[in-house]
Amino acid sequence: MNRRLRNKLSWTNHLILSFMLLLILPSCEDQIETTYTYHTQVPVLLEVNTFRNADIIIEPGKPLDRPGKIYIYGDYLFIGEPDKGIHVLDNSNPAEPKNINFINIAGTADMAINSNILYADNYIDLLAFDISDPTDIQMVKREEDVFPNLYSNADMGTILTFKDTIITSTNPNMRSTTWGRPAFRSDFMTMESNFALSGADGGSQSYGQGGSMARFTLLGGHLYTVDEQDLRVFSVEDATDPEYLKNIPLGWGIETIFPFKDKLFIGSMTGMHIYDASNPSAPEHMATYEHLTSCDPVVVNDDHAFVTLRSGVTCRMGVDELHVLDIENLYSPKLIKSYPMENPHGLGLSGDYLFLAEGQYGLKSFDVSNVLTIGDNLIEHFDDFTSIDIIPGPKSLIVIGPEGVCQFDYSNPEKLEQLSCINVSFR
Amino acid sequence: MSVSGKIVIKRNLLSLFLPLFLWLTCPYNSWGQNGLFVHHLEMGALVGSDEFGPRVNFSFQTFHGLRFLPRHEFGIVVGIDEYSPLTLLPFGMGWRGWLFPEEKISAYAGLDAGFGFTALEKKEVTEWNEHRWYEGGGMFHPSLGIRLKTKKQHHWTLSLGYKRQVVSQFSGTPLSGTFPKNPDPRNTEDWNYIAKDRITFNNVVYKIGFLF
Repeated sequence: MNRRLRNKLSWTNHLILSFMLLLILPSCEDQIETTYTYHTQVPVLLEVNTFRNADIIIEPGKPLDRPGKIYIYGDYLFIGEPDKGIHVLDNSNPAEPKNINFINIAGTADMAINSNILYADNYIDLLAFDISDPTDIQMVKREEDVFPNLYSNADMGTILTFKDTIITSTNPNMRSTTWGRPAFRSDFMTMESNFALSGADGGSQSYGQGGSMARFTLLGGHLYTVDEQDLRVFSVEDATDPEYLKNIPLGWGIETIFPFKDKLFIGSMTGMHIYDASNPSAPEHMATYEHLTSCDPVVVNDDHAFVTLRSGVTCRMGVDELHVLDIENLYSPKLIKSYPMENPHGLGLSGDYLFLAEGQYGLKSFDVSNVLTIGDNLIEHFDDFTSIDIIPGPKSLIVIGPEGVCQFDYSNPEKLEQLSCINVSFR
Repeated sequence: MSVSGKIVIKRNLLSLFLPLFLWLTCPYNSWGQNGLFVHHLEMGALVGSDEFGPRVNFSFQTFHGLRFLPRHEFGIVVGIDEYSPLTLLPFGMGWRGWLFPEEKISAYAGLDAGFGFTALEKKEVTEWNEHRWYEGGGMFHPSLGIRLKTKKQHHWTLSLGYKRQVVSQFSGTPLSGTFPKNPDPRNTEDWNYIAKDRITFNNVVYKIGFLF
């Protein structure tokens, strides 16, 4: 019994000791380990000579990876791959597009086609390709130093490019750098659709058709390009010999350009600018419609302009809306009505029908014969295909998104029928 | 995710958990008092400190075990730990060891280990398209205590323990432009940025329990 008692006591001592140990533990704080992984773009200096001296190689057709802009010309479909090049597809049968070849152009973002000549940017230069035989594409011209905003040092001949990089950090303070990320022109936001019906033609010239998010467009024998701040004008009256004419500063956040008749509609982060290009070599400012800061491509018909505003990290404090403007008096566009949308990107207009790319929410079609009731006139909504931009082409409605390019028969605009989809290669 | 939606989900899950608790813990249940089955209900305070200073959080847990040896019981542990605003649902294996199983007063030791689930936490997407969610992590909980016998066959317990729980909080925005509908949390390619905070809660646990 005695022994048992002693045993009990020693256990009690042990217990008390253990309890005291446990009481010390609160000094031990919760631990937080932070891992922060982010995509960023690391600046890379590139010597102009390195890409000027390198041959532009026409490669056999290859699968889509990151489709950017789309452009149609005749029976051919051109799909830009930002910074990489341009895919050329035979689209004579929209139900079965065929990959023909790939023009390898480093630092490219946009394109336009005029009378069998394809214009594309190559960092600071503008290139012209003869595509009269798409199976045998030839480069015919390099117009140098026309996009000089990319120069970091023009005397040294170096340009500043950005390379996509993934960085992982365990420093919790790294988070604050998200906003310091440099904006990059081939960001997907720039890939808005510029459904340029090329209403005005350049006399005998034949223009292709781009989406509503394009930054290159053709009008009256001239090529117009927009970048962050500037509108640049090139004469392409001799299609094979583009000639840089002038530069018109526009302000900041310029995103898209859309031609209609002899007017240019320029979408920017702060509003829509209208320029009169009846003298194509010297477009003149007519009016600016200002709205909240957001991203916004534009399409236009005779009476109305349709502008989408969308929110997003790169679009600052945007809203998601479709604005319909009265543009009968081009000097003072008036807002008629705005409709809430989900995440509208590019848009395309075909007669009384408006096709709207809603980003990850898919594709919507509206009857816009009465612009006051568009909200009630949603016809169809395809939500299984992320769509960014739209071209209502002559044979099919072409919809592009990060997952690929799909074509629809829209001969009956009330009921779209899917013809084909080219999906991006597995990443 | 609206607050009301979150409450509804919590209520749904609780409506699953509560009957389970009640059923497993019902004293009149047929598996009753033959000495083989043991139920140990405990509630108490989790005391620790975080970057803002001291914190006290509520904890409730039940142990349902079998007496394999006179001094040893093994079983499962289910509980709920409220680290406001985060609620963890620990689930795991438990052990109880009794120093003097036959005495009125006995010291005992317990060891619970398992995984803390975050089923009550709903994934949120902010208006800036930032996705935020939690993922559960390991739970480890040793304790020491004393058992006091009541007039009936039941016992009260008082215990002091240490509880370590891990939970990971994620926040990130999917890569703009790729719009993956379901960006993969494991694949950094899908994210513009993704941050993981692996939080380890270190607690001293003061608990009062009921044993039957």
